[in-house]
Amino acid sequence: MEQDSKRLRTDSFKDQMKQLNDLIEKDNEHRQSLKDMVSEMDGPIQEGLAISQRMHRIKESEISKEIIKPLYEVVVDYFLLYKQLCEVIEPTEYNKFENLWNKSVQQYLYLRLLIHYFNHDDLLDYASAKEYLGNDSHLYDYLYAVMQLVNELTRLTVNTVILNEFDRPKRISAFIKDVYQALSQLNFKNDGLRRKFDSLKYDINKVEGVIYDLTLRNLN
Amino acid sequence: MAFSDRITAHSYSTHSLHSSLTTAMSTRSERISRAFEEIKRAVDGDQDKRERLIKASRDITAQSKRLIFSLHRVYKQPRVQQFEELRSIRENQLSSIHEIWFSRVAVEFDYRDDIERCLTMDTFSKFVYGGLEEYIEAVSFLEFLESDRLITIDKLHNMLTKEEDDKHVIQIRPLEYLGGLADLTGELMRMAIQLLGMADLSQIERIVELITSVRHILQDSIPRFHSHSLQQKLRTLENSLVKIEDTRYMYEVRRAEFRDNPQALKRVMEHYSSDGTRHSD
Repeated sequence: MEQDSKRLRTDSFKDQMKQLNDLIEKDNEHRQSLKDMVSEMDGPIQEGLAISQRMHRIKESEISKEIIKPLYEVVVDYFLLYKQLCEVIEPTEYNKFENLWNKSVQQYLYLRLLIHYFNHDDLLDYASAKEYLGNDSHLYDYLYAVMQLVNELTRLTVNTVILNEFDRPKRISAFIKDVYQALSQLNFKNDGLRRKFDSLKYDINKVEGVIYDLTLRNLN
Repeated sequence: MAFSDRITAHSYSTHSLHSSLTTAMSTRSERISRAFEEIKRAVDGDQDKRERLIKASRDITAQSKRLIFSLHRVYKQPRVQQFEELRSIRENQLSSIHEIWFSRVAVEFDYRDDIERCLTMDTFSKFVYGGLEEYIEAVSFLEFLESDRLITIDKLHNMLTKEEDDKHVIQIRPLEYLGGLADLTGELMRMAIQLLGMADLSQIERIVELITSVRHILQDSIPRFHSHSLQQKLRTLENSLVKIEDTRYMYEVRRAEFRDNPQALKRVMEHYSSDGTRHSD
């Protein structure tokens, strides 16, 4: 009798564990199918990053044709895939799986920021970035992308000198400083974003070095 | 659209460089800074929420540990007294832990919009998982002492559900649930050894049975999780089983040795159990 009731207790516990395991299994499957979709979104991102790298080798006059136009197509492609992804996720579960694609969204936002910068010599603000995604879950990815933009434009400063376009570094530098100043208002906690932000001061230094070299030689 | 802007950017550079830069800078810089004010508010808000949750989690952990200590005093009492004390622990210590869950954790996820509530929970729950595991450990130990069984995840969810709106304070994931059960086996081990120290063998079989069944569950689930901490906990659990076996071994040897002197047996075992079962935390 005693033995029976014990077995009963263990059994109902086992049933529960079976349910739990089924749940985990289903969760894992769902996760895997999302992962597959995210890796498809990798295509446009890789293509976009390759296109964006051309900025270091071309004259300012070619940027529109060589970079902005092809990047537009890429971000539109990406956005279609991203929308498909969002369709298979319950809106309530978006943040649960978000870590699967936030790297990807970072790169997408970076490309958007780059397009906007080349078009308007200005920073794409978060309100617009949100609209390019259709949700408000990627503030930190936006900030990361902004910092990445600063990184890349620092490199660009050096390369514009190589291209002998001596009037560009000052403009780029002014933009970078505006962005850096805005980022400096924020209190980051101790995480990757903080480290990324801390490293930006070397970028600022480097750009100032370029400006200094040019000014010294009356090249601007 | 892009071009008109770029032309203005160009025309700037044909002006006297100095003045064009300052005008362009001040307006753009102001605009960007203004946009970042809102971001700052959001970032600070997130940080504060995170801090508050971490503090709540730490308090839940501390109080759960205290509750576990209290429980270790209970099973040494005579049966009748145990019932009374468990009730008191449930009404006082457990209630005050629930008070933290409901008044300090739940409010952080208190959004009218269901989507926003779920999203916030998914982002911020991880800051209370530490407290959650300790809580599960405490509650499952209490459940075991009261009704001699392993607590189910549904029961845990029920305890962490607000009566007013029937919403979970936190979603207990299988990972934290299993982590809490694994920790429970450590307490069961201490209990077994303490009881052996009192020459009380009445519950030892049941304890070993439960620890073993938790082991089966862990072995079963670990491949599904890729969780380092569960793996670690499984190793600890196996050590616990060995510790119980060693103590029982010692007990049986001594019992044979002191067959004619139960008083001496008790003294020796008391000494033995007080050596190895001090809480490390």
